[in-house]
Amino acid sequence: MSVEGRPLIEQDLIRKAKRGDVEAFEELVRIHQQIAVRVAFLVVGDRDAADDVAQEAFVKAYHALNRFRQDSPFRPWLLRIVRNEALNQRRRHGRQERLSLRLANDPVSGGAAPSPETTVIIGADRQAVLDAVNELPARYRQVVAHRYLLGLSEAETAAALGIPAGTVKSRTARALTRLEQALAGVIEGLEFE
Amino acid sequence: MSSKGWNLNSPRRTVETLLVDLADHIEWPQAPVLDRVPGRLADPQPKPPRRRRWIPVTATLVVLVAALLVLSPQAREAVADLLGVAGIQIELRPELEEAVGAGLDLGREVAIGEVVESAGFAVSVPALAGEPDAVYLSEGQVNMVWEGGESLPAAGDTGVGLLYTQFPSESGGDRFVKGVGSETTVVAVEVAGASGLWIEGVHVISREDESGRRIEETLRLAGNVLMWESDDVTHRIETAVGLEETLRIAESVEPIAS
Repeated sequence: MSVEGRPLIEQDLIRKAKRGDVEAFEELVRIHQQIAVRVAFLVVGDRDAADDVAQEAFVKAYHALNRFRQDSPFRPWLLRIVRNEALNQRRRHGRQERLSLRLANDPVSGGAAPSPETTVIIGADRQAVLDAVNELPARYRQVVAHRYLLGLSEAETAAALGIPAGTVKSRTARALTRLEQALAGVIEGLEFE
Repeated sequence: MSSKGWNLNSPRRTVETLLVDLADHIEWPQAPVLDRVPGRLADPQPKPPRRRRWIPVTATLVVLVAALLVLSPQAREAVADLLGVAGIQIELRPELEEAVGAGLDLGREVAIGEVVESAGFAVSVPALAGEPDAVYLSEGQVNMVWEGGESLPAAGDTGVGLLYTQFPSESGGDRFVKGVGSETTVVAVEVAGASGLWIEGVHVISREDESGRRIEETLRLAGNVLMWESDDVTHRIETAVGLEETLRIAESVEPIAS
């Protein structure tokens, strides 16, 4: 997901967008739209709703750009707006937060060759891991989803969820302990197959 | 036999690897966002809707509160107790003065780190609002202030968009007393599962010290107030925005990690 030299390009785009350059902001949208939709999807659990949320969030972010500090990281700031918009949307529809993730039929995004690690995990194991994640209490599920499923850093997760980085760290540790317990059978199978 | 190429030094590491693997196999939405965004960038900033959708149960409680407000002090106290907001009483005040641009008088300005150390209770911050623009400490009461802006318009001419106050619910004899005028709406609400009160309209704030002496406090924001109690701490948010937005802010309250 990382792009070489992105920070410099991104800062330039933000500077231009702040001056009202719509094309520059469109480029920022292009860069971040996938992660934005996924963050929204984790909250609203529906593809179309996630799309609407991300769109609304980008528009709000554009209008809020003058409050964005130029030297701070853009992605967590944006994802915070996305998540808040998603929470708003969910509240408007009276939905409860739930993780409704499913396994894809055609796995491995980006067409990359499966790594040696992925070849030993069978579908049943993945389903067990997903079930275990879905079973976590919401506060743990959120940090696990942002850290591992979205690949955000600890600081980005803290910013997106609006909680201190120390809380992300402690919740992650507790969540992993629970997952270790829930997945003991799967882990054993991997080690001793 | 051990793992084919796995780095399984510990169950913890294995779980992390399983999660990273899982990320590549999730059915993520591939929704195009871009094509629907540009056309809207010239739009003015949309204002959040100010919804007033009181559910029937809430409406009943409003009536109950309004009716009991004219009753005895004991009855009023009972209502506050019933609604579960410790340290807060509601009472009818015949006349209220309009707030003028008085100073906020929130106490001694302190660094947020100092307040976490010295407050004597778990100090929280509404994460949604970000870091406060200023923090004040006054007799065990922590006051955090955010400057008014686009999303949180300044209340009156104070320049303040959000005032978040927290104090221990059982702090000796000190009590907060809210004077509620006839134009005021009081609604029982839930804040992340905790009972709270939403007071919309003009109000004054005063407090009683341990001897029962009432100390009038300067009216802070001539806005709306949301109060709730959680983990032996009473929280109060004053804003100029509506209940929905204020609830969103309140529900983002998280203890600051010390």
